[in-house]
Amino acid sequence: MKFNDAIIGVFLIIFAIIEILYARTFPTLFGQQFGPSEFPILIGIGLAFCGAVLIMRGLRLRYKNAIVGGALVSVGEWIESNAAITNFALVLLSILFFILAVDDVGFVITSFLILALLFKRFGNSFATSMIGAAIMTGATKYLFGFWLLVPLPVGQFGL
Amino acid sequence: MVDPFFVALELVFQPYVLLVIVCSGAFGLLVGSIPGLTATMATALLVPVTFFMDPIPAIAAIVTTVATAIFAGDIPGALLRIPGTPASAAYCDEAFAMTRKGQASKALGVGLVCSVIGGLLGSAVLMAATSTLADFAFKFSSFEYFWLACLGLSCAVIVSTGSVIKGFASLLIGLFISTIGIDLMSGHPRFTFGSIELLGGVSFIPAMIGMFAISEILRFVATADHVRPQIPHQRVTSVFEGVGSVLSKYRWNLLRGSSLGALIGVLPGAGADIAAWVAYAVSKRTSKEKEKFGDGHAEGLVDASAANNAGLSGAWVPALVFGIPGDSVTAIAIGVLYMKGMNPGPMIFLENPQILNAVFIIFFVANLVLLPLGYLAIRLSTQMLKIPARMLMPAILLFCLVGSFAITNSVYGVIVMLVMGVLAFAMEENGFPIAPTILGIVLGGMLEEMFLSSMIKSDGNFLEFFSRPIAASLGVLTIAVWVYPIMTSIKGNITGQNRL
Repeated sequence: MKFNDAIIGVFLIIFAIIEILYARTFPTLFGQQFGPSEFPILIGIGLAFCGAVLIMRGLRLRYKNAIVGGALVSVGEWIESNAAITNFALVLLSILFFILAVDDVGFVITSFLILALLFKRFGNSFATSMIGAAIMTGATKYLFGFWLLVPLPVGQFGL
Repeated sequence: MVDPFFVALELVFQPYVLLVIVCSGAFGLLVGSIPGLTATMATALLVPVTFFMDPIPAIAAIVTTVATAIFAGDIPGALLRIPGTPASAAYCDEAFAMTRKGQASKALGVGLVCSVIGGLLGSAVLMAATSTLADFAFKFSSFEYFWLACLGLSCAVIVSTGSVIKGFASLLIGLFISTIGIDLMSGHPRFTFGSIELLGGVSFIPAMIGMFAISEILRFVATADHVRPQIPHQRVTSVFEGVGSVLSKYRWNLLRGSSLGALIGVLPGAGADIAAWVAYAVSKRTSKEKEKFGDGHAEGLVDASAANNAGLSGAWVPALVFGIPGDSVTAIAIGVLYMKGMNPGPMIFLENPQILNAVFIIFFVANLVLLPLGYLAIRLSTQMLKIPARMLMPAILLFCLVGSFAITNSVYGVIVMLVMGVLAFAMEENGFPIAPTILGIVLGGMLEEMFLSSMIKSDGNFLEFFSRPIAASLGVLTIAVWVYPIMTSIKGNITGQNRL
């Protein structure tokens, strides 16, 4: 989703104001007039400046009715394809599923399910998807779990 | 006392390190030869593994992967007209034109040998420049480091492609992310909102995996049209045939491309991509056969493919001497060095000279290993290009998930990866470059530390930042870099070409 620069500029300014106000609550260093708030405040000022320039730029483009930047919000070509939207959502949901399930279900089952689903969705045959998911899960478990000694969760099923 | 160079030789020429170099080389060639997967992404995917290694093999893995990935980008460029990495984009058309003339082997052979020679010359420049600059760096105090970091970051934004103001915003976002967590000077938590995990800051490696790998996967799946590219029916066999005569004819181009690449690499943010574009443009402008460019002429190929590999070494000069990365890959490498407790900067010359020498040796070895591995990759190129992306992308996603998990040993790393991946995707969709964000995350801590140290020394008087000659020069230069886009914007408004 593409936003006109003016909208991004407004967002940056709002973010900068909130960030500066919050940073001002930080204490100063002992015996000094400054402290941990100084640097975030400078960053906030910089972001607000960038936001102001982007607003001017966005409005100028809109005023000129240019092809790019003319609309306040425009969608990329991919949004028009249902397949692309589904694929996009599936990748994000897969990561969310990993975050929510891996500790309870275990790494092996979680990874296998994610891989099998994505392999199949991206156009591989059922058999290729299953075999590919099993091999990849096994190889990753071996590389990280056994070789690099990463404590991959085993979950309630011990896998 | 044993000379650090010999200690370094012993550190590098161990079977384990050499095995890591060969494996990383093969990995780099594979990732680089697949269109859409960049050298930075290869590094991002590799870092979780290097996390568990000693410093020398970790650095060896990063250096070799990038050197080989940058060359491997030439393979799909020459055979399919799709550059494997952005660094190959400059001469992709030229190489493909050679393929159309039935000279695919020659194009790839010239690219390989020039990459190796460029990489070796760049390594020599790295060795010479760091030693010279280190003496200079010892004179630096926090004032100089503050301005140098500002200058480096600002230059990285200015030379990046696209809108300068969006580049600055991207950098500031990175700097903001670096402030999350406990402030080391006061011990006060900032922007953590009660989260215990955020107290340690945003974990760098998951953030980087998200920004470079997850955003790439999202972009891939958002492109609905996944047509498998047609590989030309051309035997790629006699790789080195005719390469000798090309190199003999264009030996000065080779030297010029390498030097130019190493010099451009030193500039923060410029890196191998810009080095290749500049070298190709210089080659075309100064050539006696300008009319042949674009029609499968090897001259530009010699300049540019030497330049991009030489640029890799150049980027390590500011990284090692000042701790300021030249591009996103060296930013990642610096992050790894910090994690290993080896803070880059002039002190590394005193405290860890053997590590420094080992880095130089690794650069030479990595570029030498590129020759046989690159030859093998060219011979297997038609097979490698047949690997379907529909199999690769889910596998890369799993690698990202496990890699991020491995750094924090919890799903916190995966959450950071997801958030940063979505942020990077949204930023790129709206024309914000993401490399400045990574530079900001890496350098933010050092920049703030230098800023506050200087503020304490000067008792809050900002004019003291200009009180020392080198600091004043760097400060004025930095301000000039900030003012430059504003001036060009005003000029652009008059001429109608505003890049701000």
